[in-house]
Amino acid sequence: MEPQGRVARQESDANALQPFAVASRTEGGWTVIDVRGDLDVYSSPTLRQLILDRIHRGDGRIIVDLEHVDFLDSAGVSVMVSALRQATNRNGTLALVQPGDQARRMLRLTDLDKVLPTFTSVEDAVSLGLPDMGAET
Amino acid sequence: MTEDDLLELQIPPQAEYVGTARLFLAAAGRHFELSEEAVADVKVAVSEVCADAIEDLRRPEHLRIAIRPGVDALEVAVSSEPAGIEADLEDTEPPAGEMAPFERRLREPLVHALFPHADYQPRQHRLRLSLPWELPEDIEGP
Repeated sequence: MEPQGRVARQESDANALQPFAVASRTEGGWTVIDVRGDLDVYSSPTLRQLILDRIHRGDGRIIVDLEHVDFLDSAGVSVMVSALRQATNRNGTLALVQPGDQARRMLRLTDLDKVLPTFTSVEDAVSLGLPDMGAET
Repeated sequence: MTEDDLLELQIPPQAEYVGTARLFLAAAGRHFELSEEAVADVKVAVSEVCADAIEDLRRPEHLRIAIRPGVDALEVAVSSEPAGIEADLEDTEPPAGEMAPFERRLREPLVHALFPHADYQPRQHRLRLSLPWELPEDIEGP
């Protein structure tokens, strides 16, 4: 039965929302990955691939800057976990910078705030090197 | 308040449309004057259900997200219509001895952490939850 009320339909690729962007740079010996937009089932494969490419080419110290991430779900969390695992397997590490309220809530609910070091700025992460777990949240 | 106050969005089960679903939820949240925190949690729960459907081998024809206002609660529901004939849902599970991807194992506990009383059926891509809510003054009651 067709539903009552106001029904909005999005059936064209042209109307698809793609508010995601990712870029990487090097700062103080760390690879910094700047992420913008929503980190979800649509965008997370792109970020996952970028991080793994960097790790596989030998960049063991990764910072993921989440300042401009508006939304994080299990797909985004999974990227962080697998990236941390890959980095530590190569004697590297992965740190997060400036997760917003929603991202922090996801990390806390999944207990990943206990294993993913988090900093208030890229400069702090770079200068402090391997951080105390969760010290800067 | 009447049946016309039902807000509904139908999207194809494709990853690029999950963001559209969140925009819909954000707009509905503004309309019903929900807190930002409540809207953020609903966005996560709905996104998880959508992701389940998108990754299912038997991807449904479409996903439907509905918000229905009541006197003291907003009902949020996600549903899907299966594509083609009903097949054995077990075939969407990983082979014995293999783990489902981490994010798939995370979804159900995450949704229940956000909404302990939610009716969430991952295999059927269904979710139903209630948000405590007071009728805004500028919306006429039932």
